[in-house]
Amino acid sequence: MIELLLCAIQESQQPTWHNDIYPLMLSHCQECHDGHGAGPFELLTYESVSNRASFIVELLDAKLMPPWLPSQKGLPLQGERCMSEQQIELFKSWVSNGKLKGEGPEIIVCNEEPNTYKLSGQTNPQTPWIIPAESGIRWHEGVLDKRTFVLPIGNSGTVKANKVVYQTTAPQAVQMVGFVFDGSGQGVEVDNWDAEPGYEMMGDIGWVPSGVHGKIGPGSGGIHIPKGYYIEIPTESHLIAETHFRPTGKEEQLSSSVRIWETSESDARKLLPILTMIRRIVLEPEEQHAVEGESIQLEHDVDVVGITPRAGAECESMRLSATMPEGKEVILLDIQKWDPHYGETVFLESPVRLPMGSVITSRWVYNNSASNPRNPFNPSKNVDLARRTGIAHFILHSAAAESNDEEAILAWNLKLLRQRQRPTNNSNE
Amino acid sequence: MVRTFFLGIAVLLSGCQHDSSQHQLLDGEAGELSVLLFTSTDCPIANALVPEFKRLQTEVEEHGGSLTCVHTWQTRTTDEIEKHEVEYGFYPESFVDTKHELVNHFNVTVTPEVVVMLFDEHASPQLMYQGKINNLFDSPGNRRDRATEHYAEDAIRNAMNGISISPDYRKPVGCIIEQMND
Repeated sequence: MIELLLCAIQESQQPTWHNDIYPLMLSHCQECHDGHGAGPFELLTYESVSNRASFIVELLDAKLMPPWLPSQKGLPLQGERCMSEQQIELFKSWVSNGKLKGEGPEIIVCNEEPNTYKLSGQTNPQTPWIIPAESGIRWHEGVLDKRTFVLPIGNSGTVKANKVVYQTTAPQAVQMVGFVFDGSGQGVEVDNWDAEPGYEMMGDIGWVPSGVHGKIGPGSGGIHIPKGYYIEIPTESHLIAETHFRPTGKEEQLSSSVRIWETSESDARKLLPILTMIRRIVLEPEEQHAVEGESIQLEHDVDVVGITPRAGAECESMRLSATMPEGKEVILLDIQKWDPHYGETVFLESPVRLPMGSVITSRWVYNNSASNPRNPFNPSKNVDLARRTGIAHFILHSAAAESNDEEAILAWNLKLLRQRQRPTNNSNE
Repeated sequence: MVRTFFLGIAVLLSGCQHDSSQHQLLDGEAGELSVLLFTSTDCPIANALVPEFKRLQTEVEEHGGSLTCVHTWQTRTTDEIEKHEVEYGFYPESFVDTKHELVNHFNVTVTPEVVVMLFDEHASPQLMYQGKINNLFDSPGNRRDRATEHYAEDAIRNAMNGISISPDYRKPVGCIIEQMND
């Protein structure tokens, strides 16, 4: 009798599926692993999770899942997806204690977006792009598999967007989407060069880099602009969606749609892109710890709200920091294990004010050797890549402290962008 | 090193055969090749290698051998496997290892993992190669754009040409197979 009682007490202290693990799956895994999203299987049932428990432990220990790149050295961010050490230990404890189910109902979560969006766009579902079953030669000349699509939005006036949700017919294959709202018509012009949907180049429009309005990663499904801010969509825009994908082993038809919400806040502030970048990267085979970066000095007060990182797979780590005029340094974003497939836009938990005279410093550390597990080439080879909007960059999604400064900030950033151009030889720009 | 093994017929009968035809995984003629691909229909690493599986199947069949997918998810149904075959355009012989007898016998730990066997002059299966299929994945989170080394394909060709395979085991990368009764 006493033994039975002790058993019951011990069991009640051990983690169970219903009490501990299911809530953990809901909060950290459900966005992708709901059976329809970017994850290859659902993780919302006891059977599914318990039959993969060892694999999940391996991925948690390696910090591969849930995918979240920023380290704790940077400023706190909204929507941090990573599990804490305590949560990982909880999961491991559940596994080592026999994966107890416990008692409780299965809860099915419905995450339907309310149908109140302002604008929408879609690529033509009649002629979807076919993602190949595996990467072919022309797909990876040192860059990721990508294709840029142009989605007509058709807005008759400017729109102050505070949420952009992207959906695709191939959620497991699409790794990352960098987007630009283009009111210039340049994206359509390039798209019309041939009859196929989209185009093979990057999604840059003139001097505007792809991802300037945000990058959507697996799991997030969209960009949620913090309260009080918006991104401006010019009249008669097209959404230029630079789509990075990883073949899944089967041919997949890719068409995409986008829905856009407009802010109802009359005093919301416009987000402007401030770019810090390196234009070209040259690396010898097996070259390690090559540090590249730049510093730029602000000419106006700005509030940094969000950050979009970008670099290729040879990059190992990156950091964006700012030094205030009085000398105080703030690490805005720090990524120790860079993976271009998860380089989504992140938003600060609280915007940070950078006064005029602050110096923004960006730094990328490259490892072109086999010791970089993400190096796409083994043995490594020469890297010589350039891009006029930055082969590596950070976009600081920022609001002008004084609205009168908006045009001046944009002009200043464009001037910097043009100044970075240098004559190049033998680069794949 | 060539390793010899024998698997009792009871093991074969306990699995749920996907194809209705009598399929003896360890029956073969002298000189015949048999390849087992341990896989799972929802393992993204195994699925990414399906184009390589197809090439292996062509290679094996050109040599008069057989290739069988061994599904390690014990409750995988025929419907699920057939749906996967249509989606991926890959129609191998399939076997569901419901009691993990093949998994345990070969000490298979992840999907995908390959076992290449050649039947000797006594029609006894010899294990020629086991493990990693190619180098598309360095680890579950690290994937190349394309594989540059094709271990299983090389093993099959060498086995058929009487060339020794070295190493005869490479640690595979993939989705860990949950051990039964854990």
